[in-house]
Amino acid sequence: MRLSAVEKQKERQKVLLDNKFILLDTNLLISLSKYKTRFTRSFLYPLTRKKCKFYIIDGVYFEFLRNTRTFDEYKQLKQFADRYSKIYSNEEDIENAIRLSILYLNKNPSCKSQVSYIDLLLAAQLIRRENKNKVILATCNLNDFPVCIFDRIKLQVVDLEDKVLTIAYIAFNEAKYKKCRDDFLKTAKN
Amino acid sequence: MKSIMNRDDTKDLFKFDFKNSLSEVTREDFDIEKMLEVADAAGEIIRRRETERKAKGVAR
Repeated sequence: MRLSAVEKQKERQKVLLDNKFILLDTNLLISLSKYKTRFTRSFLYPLTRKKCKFYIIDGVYFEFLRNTRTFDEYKQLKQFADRYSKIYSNEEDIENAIRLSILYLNKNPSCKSQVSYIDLLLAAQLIRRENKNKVILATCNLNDFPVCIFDRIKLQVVDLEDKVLTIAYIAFNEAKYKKCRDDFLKTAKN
Repeated sequence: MKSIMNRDDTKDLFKFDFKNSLSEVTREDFDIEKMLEVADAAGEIIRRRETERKAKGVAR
């Protein structure tokens, strides 16, 4: 049986997130605690059925727990964050974060708002864990993972009644990274 | 790996093949039900903080 182009694309979409390691950004962790029923139904269960596993990096763990004012607050937030497996940053991730910040700025010199260190570390994890794109980032922050280096492999809209969230599934694209790097090295001044 | 402290210039920083240091993620189980047990308390704290921030914003 021959499939049409549209059907082929649908088939590709179906398996796109199969068996992946999903890194959660802080904004998703917050939404998961605030809107647990809707998020579990529309986000966690469908991905679990696809045999995905969920992870947070150390920076996201820090961002989620920071600014707690009481022992009880800390305990409650920690209990929630500890349900997710952790991935820790190393020296290479810090290097990759620096590389990415240089490439971002070079690509868009007029950009005044800087990408946060934790978003750079998340992006660095996508680079270091790049293994047949098995590691995917799920985030509501579309701007800090530019398409000049990363692919938005899927967008998902979640209706939360008081607001609508768009979740982007982000993967590292080695070819795009190399082009960006080579462009930078060609034009970089001493 | 060459330490970040030993990279002398920006070009040196980009002389790097990340293929040499790829690192796999260990497959670890995730229990949704256990997460749901503690989500309400965390969600309540986040909501309370947001309400406080909004109230402060109005006061300003």
